[in-house]
Amino acid sequence: MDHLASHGMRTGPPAIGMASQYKLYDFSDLDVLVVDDCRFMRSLLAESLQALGVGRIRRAKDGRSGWMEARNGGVDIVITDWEMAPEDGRELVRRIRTGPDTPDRYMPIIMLTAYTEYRQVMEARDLGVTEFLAKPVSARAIYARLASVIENPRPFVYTGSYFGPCRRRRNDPNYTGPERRRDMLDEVMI
Amino acid sequence: MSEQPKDGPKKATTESAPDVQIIHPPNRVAAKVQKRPAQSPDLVIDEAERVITRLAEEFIESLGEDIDSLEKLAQQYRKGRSPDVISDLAARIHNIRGQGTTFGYPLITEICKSFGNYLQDLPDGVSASVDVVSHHVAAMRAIYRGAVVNADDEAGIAVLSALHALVTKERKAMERSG
Repeated sequence: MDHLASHGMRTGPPAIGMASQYKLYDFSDLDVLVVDDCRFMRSLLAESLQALGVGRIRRAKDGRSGWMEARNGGVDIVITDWEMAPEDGRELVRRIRTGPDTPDRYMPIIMLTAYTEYRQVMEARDLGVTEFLAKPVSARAIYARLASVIENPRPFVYTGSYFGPCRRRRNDPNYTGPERRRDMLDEVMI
Repeated sequence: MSEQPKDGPKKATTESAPDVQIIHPPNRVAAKVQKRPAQSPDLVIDEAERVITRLAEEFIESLGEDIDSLEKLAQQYRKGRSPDVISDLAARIHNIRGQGTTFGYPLITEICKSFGNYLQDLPDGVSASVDVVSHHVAAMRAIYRGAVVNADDEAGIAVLSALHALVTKERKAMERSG
């Protein structure tokens, strides 16, 4: 069962034709860092991003080399795998979000994962992942995540035990109902 | 996390409540892209999908080599039940799992998932069953040789059912032995 979807979280590609809901963007000034220990997935992501028009794509094969690349500066978005060795995606997210020498703790992080089980998703969410991109990956899904970063930025929340994008998925300015979750920021979903 | 972030974009705005700080950082990504609202992104997406299709063909070639490696590791595991070997196997199978569906082999992904779930549910200190390891690897080889790709056709269902039965049997045996 896809727990991401069951919790209202975006995972795989939207239905065919859905991407047309997004506008056409010129990504040529964007600098995206792809972190994956699998050569094929790195190629797939990098070449797909290139075909989508992303101007600069950097590649790293684990969390540590991804971190070194991110620290060089200029990275706009990180797309990272979850399970990698010697350093995994968790550590990379921790370093970016809360490390003392992070280049940008608000950097959008898209977590690429084969794990769509509840536990891993909640862990990634609680580390401050911005978006999820579940395998199998499609170009349409990649585009949708980039568009989401542009069109639906979320505020960041610091609660003492959490720092990252607000884990409430929806932010409807026209909502007039009760704010049931106002004091429950730690309990809500992405 | 014990330390409140001190840096970040200078133009971020902040709202504070007693226990919660909400920060609105500027959307740097949006500032760097040009929008062309009258045009659809479908053409560029289709081009990127063709890239994925091409890579899928390369993946199929390399999958055979990956399965060769898995077979060697399964043989090593049969000899010594080394935790290092099983870790190596698990990492390789994890990688294949993620790629299988993306590159047109969803049944391979299902087998990897079955193996990964089995390992994940193993109690601490318990070695993986040699039979479970070798049957999963053998199933991958058989599927690759026979070019069976889907988990919902007859052959696919049969393979997955057999692996499921084996895993269930091993789990029960493990429970009986305490």
